[in-house]
Amino acid sequence: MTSNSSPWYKRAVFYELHVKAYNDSNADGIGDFRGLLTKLDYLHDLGIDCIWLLPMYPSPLRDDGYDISDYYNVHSSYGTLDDFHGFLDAAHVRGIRVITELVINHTSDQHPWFQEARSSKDNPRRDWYVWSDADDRYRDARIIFLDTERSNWAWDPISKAYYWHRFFSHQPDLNFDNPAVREEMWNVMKFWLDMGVDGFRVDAVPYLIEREGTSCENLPETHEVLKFLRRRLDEHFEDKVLLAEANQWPTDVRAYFGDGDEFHMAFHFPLMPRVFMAVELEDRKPLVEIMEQTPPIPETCQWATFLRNHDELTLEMVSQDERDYMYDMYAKDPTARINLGIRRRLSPLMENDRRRIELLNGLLLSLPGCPIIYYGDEIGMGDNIFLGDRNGVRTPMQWSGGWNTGFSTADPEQLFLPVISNPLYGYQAINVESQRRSAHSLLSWVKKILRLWKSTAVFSSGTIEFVNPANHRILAYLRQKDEETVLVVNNLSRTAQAVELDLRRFKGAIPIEMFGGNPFPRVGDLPYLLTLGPYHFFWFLLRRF
Amino acid sequence: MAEESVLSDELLHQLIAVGEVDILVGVPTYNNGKTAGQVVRAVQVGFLKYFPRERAVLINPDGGSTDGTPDAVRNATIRDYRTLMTSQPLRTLHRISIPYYGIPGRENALRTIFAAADLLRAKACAVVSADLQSVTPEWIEGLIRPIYKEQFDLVTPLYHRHKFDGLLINNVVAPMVRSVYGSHVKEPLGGEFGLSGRLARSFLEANLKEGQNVRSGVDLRLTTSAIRDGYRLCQAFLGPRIHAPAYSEPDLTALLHQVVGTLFECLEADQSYWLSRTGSNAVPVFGFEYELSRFESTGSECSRSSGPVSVNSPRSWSPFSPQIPSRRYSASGASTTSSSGFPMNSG
Repeated sequence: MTSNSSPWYKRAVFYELHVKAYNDSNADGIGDFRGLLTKLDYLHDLGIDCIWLLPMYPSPLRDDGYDISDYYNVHSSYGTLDDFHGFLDAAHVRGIRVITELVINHTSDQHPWFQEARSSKDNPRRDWYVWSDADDRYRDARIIFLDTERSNWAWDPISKAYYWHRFFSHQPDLNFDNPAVREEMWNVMKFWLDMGVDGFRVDAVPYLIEREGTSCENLPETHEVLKFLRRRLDEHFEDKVLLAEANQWPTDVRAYFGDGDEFHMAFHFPLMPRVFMAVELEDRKPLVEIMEQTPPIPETCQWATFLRNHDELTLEMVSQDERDYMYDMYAKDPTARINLGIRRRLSPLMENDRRRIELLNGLLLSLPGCPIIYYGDEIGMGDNIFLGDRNGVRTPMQWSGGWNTGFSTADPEQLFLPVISNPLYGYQAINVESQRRSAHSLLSWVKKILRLWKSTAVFSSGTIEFVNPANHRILAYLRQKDEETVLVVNNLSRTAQAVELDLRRFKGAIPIEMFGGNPFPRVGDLPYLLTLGPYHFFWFLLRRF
Repeated sequence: MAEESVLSDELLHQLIAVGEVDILVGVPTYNNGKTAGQVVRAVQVGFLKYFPRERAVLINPDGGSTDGTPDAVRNATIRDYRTLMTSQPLRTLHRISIPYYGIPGRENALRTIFAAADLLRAKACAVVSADLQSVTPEWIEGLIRPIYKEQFDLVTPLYHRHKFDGLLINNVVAPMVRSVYGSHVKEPLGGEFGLSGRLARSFLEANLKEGQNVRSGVDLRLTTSAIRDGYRLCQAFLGPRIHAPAYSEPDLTALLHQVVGTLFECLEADQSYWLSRTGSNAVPVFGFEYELSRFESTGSECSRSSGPVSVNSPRSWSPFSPQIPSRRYSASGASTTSSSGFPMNSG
């Protein structure tokens, strides 16, 4: 049933992880590539197709590696370039692809490029960054990190000028109006692609170019830069992927696909908070609305969808009322709030309710796009909102109930972050080893549903059509590709629900419940009646015999 | 079983789709095609503006309108208002328009609304007349919030009335309720009211137990029984109450008979409650009770100002003068016959 004619990234399950948090091979308390290599069999068994590595470059780590100080190496804590190479080869042997972070908008202020640029106004690197004698330019650009930054300009006492930064002040923005910067960034890409990397998750793409009188986001000149990089990629390599991080409305993100000549994939950011909102409201309205606002994309492109990631559950792409609602429902403790979002993992957000966790995963996998699973969410890991910044969702992977949860043999005090140890989400209760033993664990269930997702191209590449029954607590849609049709019915409510679906045009078809393979009564002229338990969902293959 | 139920199969079908709600607003109709759409819009904006997070439904039991009222209800949209509003609906806004069982009349319409509220476990309900021209979203807040947030059980309205408006209520019914039941309710049978889910359920059960399919004076009976049974009452200031001209003029004699008759029925039924009680209690008032500074004969019609006003005497006395057909409010000032065409309980 699976169509292999489409590019690999259109039918892949992605898995996001941080090297430092996954497995420590040298007992220094920090995960590394050698450690990660030993866990590839686990990932292969889980059923993922591609690993998305969070930044692994040399960095002062003031923004978890998104402040890169050398684009041509790996952080010494994670190993060497040879270690990386070994990991990459081992992943490929198992059929797992690897994409890495490409943070192109800015560097660390410790990067030699910036050190040179600030050293003198005459330095050849000076124009690699955006400078100004006054801090009143580009006033229409919003400040993204509202909790910490008061301006997008920072004063450089060395060269006595202001430099532009859209994120932290220690992350000066590169000047992509300068062709030399574009060339250098291509060199960075080529370096890693030559090594065998399968693509990049490109960070913060809307902010590459600044223009007076604009929001400095999504500018045409930014798209020119991105098209330049894509052109180079296509000229030199095949079968690679560029994934855009553009936290924008779907209509604005659409431009990053271009005519299939910019990004292969882009995150669908606004979908994610609406999944959580719909379940809390017990109403399909937020999800249907955002999907209806999602424009078609070129045939060779794909949405990347996710429930949680290494950042906060971002609430930028919601209204103020929706944001207030999300805060009140999911972040009653103000400590859980950061910037415009909520720093929590999936399981705590769902209050450890297995049915809700399954429903959300079911939604993630049955809505259009390729799913990205955040490490640890496959076992229902918890978080620690008291660790500062977003470190609470970046704690060591919980492998076992043993020493340091099997992550490291170092002293517990040595770990880069403490393991989760509370009675509900602690590693003694939630870990891979124990869940492997049970066929009914969340881990086993995730494996099963991933295999189901991959059993048909409908989920990754099919069209979507909402059925919209009268019961608003039921979210039902048809996914179709070629001759194959899957009916998805989700109960967003905490109570059992009855629903009648108008399936008359499928009269004669027999719904086959995909998890168990059981046939349901044949579709006829009357509304198709289903009853669903709390947070229950069905995936039906509509077959004709 | 449906034949014996207040809820028709079709209504039940639609209520199942709505599921449990926090707020339910009923808008009974009978040939209110000209005004029902605006009333529905006001209710929906009220939901959005004041209760954006709550699960809400509007139910329109229709008494068999022939002027397209159900279509007006179904087609009413607040889409045009959205650019003017600071909030967008988080949830699906439900509305059900459906004919109800039994003889067309307010009693059966209210029974349908109360039964729906009971089935959907509504925490707060309100009833709003479909012939209103002065209804605003703030009415929904006024009728619902004291129940939803302050745990009151019955919210009776306070209207801006001209001194010659609501003569029957002001001079007969309200003083009687105050003196006999001991409660300073100024509008014991207003056309609009709010009530808690538990009061709706209690009233529905009592009504069903009495085995009376149709009983006149349901609004007044609701107020007196709420007082009698110790439910928490309050009043909400709603402003002027202007409704559309009636298709047919009420028979004043019948009106008096109905209102006063119901009052005496209540007094008789509740004798054991009021015979032994003395004194009376104030009823809390919610809302900003503003004064209309000037009364203009062609403009605002309902003023509570006690100062000198110019009065359109012919119109004020029109209920008592069959030669003058056109008027907008009744002698009782309550919902009365309004434009509904069928006799109603309150006047």
